[in-house]
Amino acid sequence: MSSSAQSTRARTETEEQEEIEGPFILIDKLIGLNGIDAKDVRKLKEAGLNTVEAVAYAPKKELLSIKGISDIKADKICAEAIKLVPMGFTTATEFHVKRSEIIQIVTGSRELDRLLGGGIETGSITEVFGEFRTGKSQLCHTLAVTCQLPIDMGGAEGKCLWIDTEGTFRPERLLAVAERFKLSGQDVLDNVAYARCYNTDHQMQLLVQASAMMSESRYALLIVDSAMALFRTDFSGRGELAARQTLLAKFLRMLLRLADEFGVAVLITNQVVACVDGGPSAFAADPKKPIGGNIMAHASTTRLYLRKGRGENRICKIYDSPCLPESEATFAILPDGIGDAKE
Amino acid sequence: MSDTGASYSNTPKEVENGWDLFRRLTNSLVIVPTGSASVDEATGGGLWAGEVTELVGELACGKTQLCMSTIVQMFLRDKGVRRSMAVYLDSNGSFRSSRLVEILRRKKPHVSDEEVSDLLSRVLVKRVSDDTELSKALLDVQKLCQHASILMLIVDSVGGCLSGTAAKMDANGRKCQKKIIRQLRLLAREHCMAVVTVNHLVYWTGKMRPALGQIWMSAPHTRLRFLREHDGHINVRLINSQRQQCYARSGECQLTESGVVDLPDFQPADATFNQSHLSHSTLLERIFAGDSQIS
Repeated sequence: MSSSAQSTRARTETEEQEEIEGPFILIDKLIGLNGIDAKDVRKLKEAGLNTVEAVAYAPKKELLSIKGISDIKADKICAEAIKLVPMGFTTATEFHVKRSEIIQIVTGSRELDRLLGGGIETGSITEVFGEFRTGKSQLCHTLAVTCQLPIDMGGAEGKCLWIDTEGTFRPERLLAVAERFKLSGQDVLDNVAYARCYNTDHQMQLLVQASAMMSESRYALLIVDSAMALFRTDFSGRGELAARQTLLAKFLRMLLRLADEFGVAVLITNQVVACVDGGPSAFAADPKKPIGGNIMAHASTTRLYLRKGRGENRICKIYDSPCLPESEATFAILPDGIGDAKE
Repeated sequence: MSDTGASYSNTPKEVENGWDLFRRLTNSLVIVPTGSASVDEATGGGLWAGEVTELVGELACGKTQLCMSTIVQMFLRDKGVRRSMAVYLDSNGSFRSSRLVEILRRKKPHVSDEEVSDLLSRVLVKRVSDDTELSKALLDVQKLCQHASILMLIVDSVGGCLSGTAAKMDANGRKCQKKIIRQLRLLAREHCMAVVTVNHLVYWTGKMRPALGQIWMSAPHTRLRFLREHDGHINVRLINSQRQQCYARSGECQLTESGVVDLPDFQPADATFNQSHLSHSTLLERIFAGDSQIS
């Protein structure tokens, strides 16, 4: 155990010494090009644009809204960013090659990994929803540790960023999981950046900070537990629904962009409601559906539905996925995280 | 027959009569089959080039899968000569190249590696996340048309891309939607593409209707509604069409490893409808012979 702990520490040290090479280009590259100076870049950074990709993907409207960036300057910045980032179409061949390099993070349960085709995918949003006590937060705790494992053990060798809106984060759970995977508890905790979040504006602001942190060191996982809770309390009633959904769409778009730019896995949890309106799911045996409406549905790439099984067992069902068939797997919540169901 | 890419973008004359128009529009008439004969029957052969077809439905009821299997069908149908390509505009990261390869391998058991890479090289992918990006991407597609013959354009999902314009139906959102509609129709008509948009359903005063509001309602030429039934089968129903009667036109299909396929007990009702790739001449012959099914 001690030897592996040392190797973890050694790895983090070498990582910090080397320049981080990721799938993104740092925004400092723009300094000196076509009259763009360090002051402009600082302004962009303050607005949460930390990579050249972020600038290239941002609509011009957004650049103009940054204080101190003029119309002409915005045009220049856009033009330079587009030169550095390929923005056209890619063929599915290139896409296929890129896809085959995508890392998946193991969940701790072999059956669940098999269901997901290897684990939680990096570079896209995975949404987990279910009633209380179905293991949503436990899955988050386990993944916060497994994402730090070396790649040959099913991890992604990166840190974890945790945005907590419900106050469910428990570091002692992380220690228990760390022990199971023979990692040093101290290192595991050091590698999880945690933020308690109190309102929706704060939640948006945290993502701006997140992009700054991700451009500085290697992160593999971003957890938002739970994504909808604050939106539900900050906005109420039909009157504010449109405003809520607009802000939610913006939030999810920022998440998608983080997943795209930095290749991190984004894991969000969601609550459910009993379906009362006349939708077709009202006739199903278990009329539960995730909240957040269509905006949420269209942002998340993979949606997983958790429900209770016998005892400590939980059942995970693939609710929507572009490539996984609809099926189920059983896992268990154990003292040291998510594990295989015992039967 | 003028069956090459050159005949695609034949520009209209200054003044044309109905016959000229008909000839121009049917010059390179192509219908891409979906993979399920039952769905093809309901839609009059599959997805028509020159039309905007919208697929609407709940979550996880096979809309994206139908797009994937149509791409594979397009590839299987047209060998070499035309080299038709597909463009996939993806809003939520649901495009999976591995799924395309899986469908191809299931449809054609002894497929060679060259064919697999040929299929993948014919699909162009781009991520779009909102209306400005979508509009920019559609302009790019227009430029691409000059170099390649693009037969299909898929926007998955248009409901996700344009959700910002529908939430507050102010003047700006309306303008934006109209612009996108104009661009999609232009691509369909002038460049003879089968444009496919994927959309979701919303519930409003107890009724189901496609998202994006009143203006979008009339945007596509054809609209198919997907509904998942209790036994896991998918019911695809024609709910809008500018070409044929919609009454009682629906097909049943199921989702398997090989994409969207027929149910095992499906009986084709009309054998002539299965030859979906109608060439110019056969279409004219059939029209002169008084074949009522076409009009």
